Amino acid sequence: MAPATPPGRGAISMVRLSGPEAFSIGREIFRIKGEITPRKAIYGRFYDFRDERFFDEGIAIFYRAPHSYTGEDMVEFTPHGNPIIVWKIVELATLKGARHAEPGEFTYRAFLNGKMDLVRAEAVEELVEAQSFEGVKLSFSQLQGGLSRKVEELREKLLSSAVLLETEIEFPEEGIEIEREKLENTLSSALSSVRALISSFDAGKQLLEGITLVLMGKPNAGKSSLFNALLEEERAIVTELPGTTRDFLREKIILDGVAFIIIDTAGMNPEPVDEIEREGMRRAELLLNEADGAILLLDGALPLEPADEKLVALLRGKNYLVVVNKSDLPLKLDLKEVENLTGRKPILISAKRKEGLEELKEMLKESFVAKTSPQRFYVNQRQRVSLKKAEKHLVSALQNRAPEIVAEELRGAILALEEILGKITPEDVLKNIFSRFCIGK
Amino acid sequence: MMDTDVIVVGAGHAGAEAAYASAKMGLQTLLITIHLETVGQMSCNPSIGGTAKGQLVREIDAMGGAMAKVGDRCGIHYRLLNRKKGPAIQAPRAQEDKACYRLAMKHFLEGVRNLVLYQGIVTSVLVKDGKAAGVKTLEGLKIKAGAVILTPGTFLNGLIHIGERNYPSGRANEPASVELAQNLKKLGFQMGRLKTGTPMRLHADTIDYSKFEVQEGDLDPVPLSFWTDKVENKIICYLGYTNEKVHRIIRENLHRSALYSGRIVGIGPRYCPSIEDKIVKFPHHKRHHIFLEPEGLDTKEVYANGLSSSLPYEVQEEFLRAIPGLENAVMMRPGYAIEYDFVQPTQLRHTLETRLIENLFLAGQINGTSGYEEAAGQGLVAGINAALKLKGKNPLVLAREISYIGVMVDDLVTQGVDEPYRLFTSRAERRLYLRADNADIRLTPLAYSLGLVPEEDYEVFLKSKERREKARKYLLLEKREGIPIAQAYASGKISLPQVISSLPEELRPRKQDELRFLDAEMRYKGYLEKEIRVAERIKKEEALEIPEDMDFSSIHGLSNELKEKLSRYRPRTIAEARRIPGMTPAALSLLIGRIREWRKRRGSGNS
Repeated sequence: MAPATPPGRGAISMVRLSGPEAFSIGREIFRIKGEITPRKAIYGRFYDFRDERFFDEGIAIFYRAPHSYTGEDMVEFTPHGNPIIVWKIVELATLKGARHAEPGEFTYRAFLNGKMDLVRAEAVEELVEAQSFEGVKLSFSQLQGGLSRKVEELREKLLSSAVLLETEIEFPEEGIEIEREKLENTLSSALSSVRALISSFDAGKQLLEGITLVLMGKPNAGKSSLFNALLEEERAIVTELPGTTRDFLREKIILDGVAFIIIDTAGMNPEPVDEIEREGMRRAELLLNEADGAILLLDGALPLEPADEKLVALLRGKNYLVVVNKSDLPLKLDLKEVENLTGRKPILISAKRKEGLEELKEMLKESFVAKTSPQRFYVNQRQRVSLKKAEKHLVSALQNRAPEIVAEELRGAILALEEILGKITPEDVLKNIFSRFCIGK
Repeated sequence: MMDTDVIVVGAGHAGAEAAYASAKMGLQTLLITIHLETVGQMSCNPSIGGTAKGQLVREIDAMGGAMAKVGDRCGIHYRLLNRKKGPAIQAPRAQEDKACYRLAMKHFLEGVRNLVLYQGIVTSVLVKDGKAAGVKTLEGLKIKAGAVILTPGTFLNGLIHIGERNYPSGRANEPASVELAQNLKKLGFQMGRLKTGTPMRLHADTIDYSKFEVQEGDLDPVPLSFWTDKVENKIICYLGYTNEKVHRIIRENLHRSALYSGRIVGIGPRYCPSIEDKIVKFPHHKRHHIFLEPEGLDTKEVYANGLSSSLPYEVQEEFLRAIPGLENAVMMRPGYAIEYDFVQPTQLRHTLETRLIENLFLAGQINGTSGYEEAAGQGLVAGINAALKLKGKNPLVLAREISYIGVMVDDLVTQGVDEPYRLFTSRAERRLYLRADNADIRLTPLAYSLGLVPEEDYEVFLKSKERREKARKYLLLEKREGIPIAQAYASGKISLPQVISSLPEELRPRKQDELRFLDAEMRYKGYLEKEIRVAERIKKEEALEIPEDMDFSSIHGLSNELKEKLSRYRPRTIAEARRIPGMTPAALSLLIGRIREWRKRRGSGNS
């Protein structure tokens, strides 16, 4: 059992209880009139059997296995939203033999009880964690089975090739010969599907986790001002003194449903003077390596300085935008020189007056949002690893002609796909052989 | 008195190997059979071997078993199946002179020290203190023994069906073992019912062979046994086809077939269907194969492979008339279906000893399998383990990773059966390693240590093994034009004859099998190495000990059924857990994860 809503106060909270004894334990702490009607909202009162007193009232829904989220008997209590009440319910259930659920355990049980495959189970987690509405829509489509179906289709395709091969191997006297060309066509089309799935990883990651950008610039270029202007809220302390904030701030802005996580490297100095600044530089470089890209901010009121050039060198090979701040002050920076140095056309803004921000936002979208057709599915890291395995097997299968070796590679590829769905079904090949071919010398 | 160490009930392919192994290991063994004339009888088709089965026969041979050697003595038509494909899936097969085979097997067993053959019908197993203690026969004889191995085949409550008629029988016109079946039920075994069938036998002189295609044996026939030097083809077989007229006759009479009229409750094998089954399940097929296979040199009986049927005699006769070349064929025996009892093999240990009654072993069709080779392989496992048990030694469990025998036994006892079980190469995880050409390298040293391999055979084996392994090493290391010979061959740069001629004279293969071994080792090199790594990981995992106080019921995610089984069997290692009936790879990896977690928690709790 576990609370299903986050801790805190509110109108209501929810506590979930799942397992074979869910009903009996549930009835000990939740007293109702009459009998339980499964899948119906039932009014009742929460009861402390130790001092024989009621302490709250609310609604509970009883689900009878297998018609529940976990596939087991399950009860969902909805008491008033006070953590004291929630924890009392958990405590009382524990006294009656319930155990506190581990994180994600309800979904895990749903997977083990065959209510959903692994891809869908993961989608639940991703749906809850998604950083933007696009991400929500994407993980919901995943939960609905978009990717599962795709992988299942692929698996079926490979399985039917495996069936042909195995039939040829097991029953050499039945005169069943596989057409090599057809087999190769199937395998190469499967291979390109696998590759397309692998490439959906980046787009999916962006939509779910957001795009991480590091805001770079020498002290006093106006990083914090731009940061705040973008956030349109006073998050960081903006002062005239360089190097005020040494801790990096992260904030999220959402542009057309895509989350950008912007990290303000305030306090970083490309020409560090003390140990603290040196450490700041090291951390900024580290961040830069993990991020999806950067924004290089230059001070328009000053000519190009060695510090700026150092930053450009640091950014070599990275995906970044060049932004020139302080368009409200007289321009001292040679924009042509900047463009030559960075190979990018600088965007002129004034963080202070909030000018040029719209153009910057457009550029952010254009430069960093993966240019893919609208995705119906994406793969996560675990799934990508399995797909990479499948890819390797398919490539080898296409390079070989010996049926036993091609069969071996196919087996590996199918296993990798089953890994994604979290299922293993060894009898499938044989079952298929007998339903498709008339065997029997 | 007849009291003995081991009693084997039934002298078919399972019983023969079981009795031979047990006697060979020094135990006084009594082999009881209903009819001494039918020891080692091939009840159905005349072949031994085939895909997966050929590899299995080689394993039985490598373990010192009788099947391959007797098979080579009586083989009359040899083919290496999948000859044009890779060595891992090439499988020897021999057609036998059936009469020769059973006489040779009987003669072979009669000559074995410690082994007594006896004609009798066993009606029950004597059980004392939960252990098998002997058997009781129809004439009231009580024979005491330390262990009992049951291999009753289709005789166990056998019921023959031909058309609308059925009658109790173990094989055409031989008595069934009805009381023994009742006895097993009474002892508490969960039993099921299976079905199999056999085609009609035709008189050779009434067949017009000119209407059939000739199927000759191989030009360079490959023996079944590692220790047979040369075999030859003595007959030819024929291939023909059914036609739409045949199918119509069968379709019109389906209601009269035992199978489709609902009189048969047992489940038949999908891979060996009756002709009526093929026509119903594949209505769009215009013809089906018929192979005509002579049953021996001294008989005119011809096995009509592909025409297994449980239709009435007159319908069988009618559809034969419609087959070109069989218009005038005379049936000497009609085809029939047979139903029989089996014991769900999840009630067995990997030694084939029953969990219910100690020292009682089961092998062959009683465990839900079909096939002579599958039976023989199990007979060997049961015979060896009965002997080891009585000697107080550790049991022998062959791993899936090193043998088809291991794959089969593991499948049976962990998964159970819902149709007659047959081996297929695709059931093996290590198909490229479990080959006919290396079965001796995989198993003979083990069998020799158990006393199953004669000294002179072992000498021959050692020489061949050394030759093969030295040649293998040579080919992997020696270079031609800068690349190892093996690699040049695998990538298609040089041919097999070129490879062989590059070998020093003393390392060149002396037998076809040695050549195939080298071919396989070069071709599959990368795969074999990978398989070894996987096998090593599995071995390491298997050695993982399960804490004695591990609470299985607290493992979230295991099904209640498995939790209950784990708590009941209390496996001490992952290897033991793997062998629990119904255990799945997913459940096993969950268990492994939990053990590691449990250990970690324990470790940190102590420090």
